[in-house]
Amino acid sequence: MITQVILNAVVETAIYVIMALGLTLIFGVMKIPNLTHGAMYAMGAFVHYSLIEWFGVPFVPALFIAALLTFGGGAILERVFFRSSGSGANPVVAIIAGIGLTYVLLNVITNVWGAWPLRIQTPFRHVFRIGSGAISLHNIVTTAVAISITVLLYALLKWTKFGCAIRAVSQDREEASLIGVNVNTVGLVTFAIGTMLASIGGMFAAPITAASPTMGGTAETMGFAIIILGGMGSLGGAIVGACLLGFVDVFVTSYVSGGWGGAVAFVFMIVVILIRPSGLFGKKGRQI
Amino acid sequence: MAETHETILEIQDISKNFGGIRAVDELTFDVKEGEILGLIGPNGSGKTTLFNLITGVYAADSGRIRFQTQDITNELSYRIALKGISRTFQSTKVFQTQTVLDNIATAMIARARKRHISVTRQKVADVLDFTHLGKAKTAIAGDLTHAEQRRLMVAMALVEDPDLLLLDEITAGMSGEECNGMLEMAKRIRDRGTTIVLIEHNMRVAMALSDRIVVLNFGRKIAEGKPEEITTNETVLEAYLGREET
Amino acid sequence: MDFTLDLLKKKSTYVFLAAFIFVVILPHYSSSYVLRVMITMASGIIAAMCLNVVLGYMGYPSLCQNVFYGVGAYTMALATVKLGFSPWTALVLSPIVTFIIGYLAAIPFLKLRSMFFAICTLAFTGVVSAILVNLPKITGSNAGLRGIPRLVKSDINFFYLEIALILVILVLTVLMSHSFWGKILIAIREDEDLAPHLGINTTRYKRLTFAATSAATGVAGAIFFSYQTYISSNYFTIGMSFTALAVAVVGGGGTALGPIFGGLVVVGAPEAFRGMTEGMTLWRPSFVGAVLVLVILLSPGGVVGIFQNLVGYFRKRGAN
Repeated sequence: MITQVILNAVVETAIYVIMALGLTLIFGVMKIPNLTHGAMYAMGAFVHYSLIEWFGVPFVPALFIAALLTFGGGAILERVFFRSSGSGANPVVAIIAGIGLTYVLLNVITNVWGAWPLRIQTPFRHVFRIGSGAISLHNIVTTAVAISITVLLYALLKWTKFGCAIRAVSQDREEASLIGVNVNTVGLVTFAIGTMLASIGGMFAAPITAASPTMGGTAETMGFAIIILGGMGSLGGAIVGACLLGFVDVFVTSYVSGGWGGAVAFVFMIVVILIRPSGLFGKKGRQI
Repeated sequence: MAETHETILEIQDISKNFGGIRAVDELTFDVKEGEILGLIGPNGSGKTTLFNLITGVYAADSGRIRFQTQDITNELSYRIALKGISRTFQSTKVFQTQTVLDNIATAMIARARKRHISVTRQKVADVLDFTHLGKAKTAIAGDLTHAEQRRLMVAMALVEDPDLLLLDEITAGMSGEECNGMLEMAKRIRDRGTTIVLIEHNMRVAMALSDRIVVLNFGRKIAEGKPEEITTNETVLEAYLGREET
Repeated sequence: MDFTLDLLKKKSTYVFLAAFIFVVILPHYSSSYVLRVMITMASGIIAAMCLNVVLGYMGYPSLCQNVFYGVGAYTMALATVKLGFSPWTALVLSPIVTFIIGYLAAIPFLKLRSMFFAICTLAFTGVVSAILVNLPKITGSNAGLRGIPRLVKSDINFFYLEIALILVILVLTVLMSHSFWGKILIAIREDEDLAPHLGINTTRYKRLTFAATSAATGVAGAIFFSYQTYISSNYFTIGMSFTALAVAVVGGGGTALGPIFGGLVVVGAPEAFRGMTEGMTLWRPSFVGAVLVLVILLSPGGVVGIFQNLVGYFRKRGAN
């Protein structure tokens, strides 16, 4: 039994990792919480679905195309709606704008694809037995993707020029612009990457939990719980937070009762936020 | 003004750590009623941290702070303010979107309800007059000049007649003439009976105003005495060597 | 006396009276569908007015308004359906229960600022939502509870009840904003670090304000679900928590009348267009979302802000 629970937790954590990395990246650079993350998570799943069902694109290539499309979508969102909030001066504006955009996006999804959950078939159907538990190939692929994304992000930040720019802007926006970094472009691309990651999370989650317009709601709040736990802006923190809350969620759901997983994770976050607001890996000091 | 030698504020062995850094290190000194005490020292020597400890923004790790013989070491900020300690801040802290009048009114809210409105009105008029802000009373605080905003900050700290006023680099960003104005205002504040502790980077102002000076470096007191004694003190000069003063 | 005379001189007083009379008469000529919309809109306005105090005046972006709406509603439902109290007794109980829960929630949450506060309240909504769904024996979960008795018999009277509540809250809000309490809230919003140094006990006022507005929201919830006679946990998911916010923001934060205009725009406008295009209901959330985004980015003062700017603009032109 426990093997199965652990295997489930691993997949859930993988999806949360992908989501949380995007969220913490956006927060690190733009200093705002992205409240469209859940909507784009759902949008990713539905765009992916459409590519497969309407255009006959196979599952995997559709993943890449959908990812690119949401990258572009994220860029447009940033440019049009979040550019002015980029300095983090008034996060309330960003929060409310994000809420408004979520309304619009979810409504669009409902009208185009319908409110009922859609089943999405994954080609990775083989099921492997490990001990007393079972894990599907899809879940293994998801986990592998999460790990790859983590590695790629790490490489991007550590070894590329752009990655350096990202780190500079997230540490001190003004200083970065003084040394010649185009802060606006960094914000744009980072937001686009973050949004793309959200949608990738949704694309991999859809075959597991079915795609519905509201699928992103709890995922997004969980995402925030994770990055707050791990320290907003910290990638390592996002990963640790995702593991922690992912396991808490699945264990509570499996061993205690079905509906309480998310709630327990939220309570956990609320407790941590009160004791140590900067999270496990965040910088200490007074928040603005 | 007759000199009294009663101690109004006692700092006893106060220490404060932030992570691994000792911001304030077993600091001990007294402030006498009616004096102007200058607090000087290089950047990062713990002066503003001390103000934050006195006014309850930070909790001291060890030591005691006594105000008029009452222990206020772990007291809440608003209670400390109500006991009669007011402060200004290094960066200009006023309610930018509110009028000068509203700013001062807010500074009086906590106490205004317990007395007749005419008393409150008189206090407003007095403090506006005292800080030369009478003409600006309906102006939005954010529209005032830098020096005017800092005078507003003083007005808000002064309007409820505090016994102790903590001024944190009040002349920051002021021209020579504005500094003189502030210097003169500080003297008038002291003459009214308010004890002042001031943090100053401007040596001219600090020396001219202070009756006594306490010098900090790395959170420790390295010298204490009259201005003339401090300027010739070896340890003090060493601490300042190579450091910019403004 | 002075105050009343001043009031009589202002044009706005007469506009008010006209609107008031209109509001009192209109329900009698409306279909039951329109009446339902009006009751829903009024309820949303009440919730938004309460949020407006916390967000607009005090500066705390609370995203858990519907939690308190729900607490009040479930108090009404449980007290009547499970405990057999009369709906009016339940109506008195609702704000008491909600106040207590609001105060308890305020203690930890108000230690946080800005976006941390917002996200925490969002998580709080998730927790309460889970509680409502996962205790079917008590709350009836998704299937819900039926048979909540009505406070008053007719729909029209429910509307009047809500209008009465709106007026009470409006008056209280205006009185508050001109009093010391309003000044304290504004001080907290503008510079919360400065306020304690002026002798202001910010903690006490934050908690009381939060709890009091929660209680009022609870009353709104109790009234609405008594009207509907049916409640289920579906109404209180994370996704449903933003109507009050939309109304409060669109109307204009920090003004007493803002939420009323916000309600008219957010709830009323899509319905007004309903006759014109059938597709409007489908696209209503998009409309709300779009208005929300436009308002917050272009005119944070909301509808009232736009109005004030217009009035100022016309006054200037008139002066020339």
